[in-house]
Amino acid sequence: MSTTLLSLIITTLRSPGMVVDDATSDAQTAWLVPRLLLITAVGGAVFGAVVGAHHGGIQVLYAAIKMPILFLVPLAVGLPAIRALFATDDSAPPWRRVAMAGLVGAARTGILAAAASPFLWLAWSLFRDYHMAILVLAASLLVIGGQGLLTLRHALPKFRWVHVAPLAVAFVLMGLTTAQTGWVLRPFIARPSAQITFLRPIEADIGDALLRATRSATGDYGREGEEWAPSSSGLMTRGLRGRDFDGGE
Amino acid sequence: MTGWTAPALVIAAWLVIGAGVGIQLERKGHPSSTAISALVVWPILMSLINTIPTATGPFSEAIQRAFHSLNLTIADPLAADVPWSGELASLHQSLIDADARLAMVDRLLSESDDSDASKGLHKAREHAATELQAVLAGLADLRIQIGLYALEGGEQSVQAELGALQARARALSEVRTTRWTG
Repeated sequence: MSTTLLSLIITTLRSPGMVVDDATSDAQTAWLVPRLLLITAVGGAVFGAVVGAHHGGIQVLYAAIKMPILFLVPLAVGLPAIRALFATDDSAPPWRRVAMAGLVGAARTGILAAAASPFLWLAWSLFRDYHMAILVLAASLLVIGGQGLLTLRHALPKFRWVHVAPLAVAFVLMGLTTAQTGWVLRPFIARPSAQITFLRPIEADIGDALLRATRSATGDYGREGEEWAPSSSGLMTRGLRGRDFDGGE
Repeated sequence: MTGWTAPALVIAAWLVIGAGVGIQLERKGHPSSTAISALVVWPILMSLINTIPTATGPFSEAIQRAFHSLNLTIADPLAADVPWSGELASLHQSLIDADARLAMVDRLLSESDDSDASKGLHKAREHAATELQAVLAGLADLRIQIGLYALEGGEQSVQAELGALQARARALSEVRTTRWTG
């Protein structure tokens, strides 16, 4: 059981399952929740500030505000679905345990993100290219977020082979939710020539954007005269835009 | 901004509910940090609305520290095969209850005069505090027993130590029961 913020950070990193186990009583939950949120917010803000530093200026602040939101929103969307996936199991986890595991996972992601920030800063000096920076950021989030996601296993029933399908669905669901949340909250790395805004219009989806960023990073900019822009035919398209797109991811 | 109307409404609804839960938590006497957290994670904290936060006693931090250290020791892979009878949670709860009783007695003593009854209560309080401290010291000894077990084996010593601690923790409640039931 952690008694200080520092010991909570250490336990969250070394034995996240222990923090989840601790949150059985109301008193312990009331003590843990604000501190886990603080860790997530500070860790995410540090990482976000470094991400925003690729463009510089006010984007440092914007990205620092949005990054903790990126760590937390998928929990609100994905955790009820994950709880539902295991609801028919004999040993279905209590709602509070699933929620606390998600929160501990977010805090763990925040700590790892803050720890990874110097490396990302170094990467920015090596990869000044905008499209390459997006891919580096996506890869970083995949590694960091994956560690946080693994914390959820502490809330799930003991593994049996019948759990393979719901586990796979849960993993894909949280991954997609996080990725799409990141897309909705863009730009984190603004295009060098872009006009900076806090949020972009909701359009297309993350899969489409990553595909195009990968093509652009390899020098394939499409047909001559074709403007790089997210497709308006993505799975979660809300409106037709494209020609006036001047943002980033 | 294109497409942001519906998300903005959802976010506003989330924050309004969170503010409502936070206000309720504040009224119930929960810390401000918990109430503010409800803005973001109200689904987790909603269950706390119906609970009144228990007062933390004078040994609250010492209890948490002792169990934190013990849990870290147990989590060590080298201590994985230490034989536990799985009673640590009840031992922990016994100490928290005893600590809460001490907190209540401290509050009473601070409000009472210097009568004989107060002196009796003060004496009983000191006895209970000494017993609680002895159990906490025993938890430190238990960690040493685990270390010895990892080196030399001998599961009886670990179980004996744990059993003795549980007996002392039970005695903290039983003395109280005897005192009040006559």
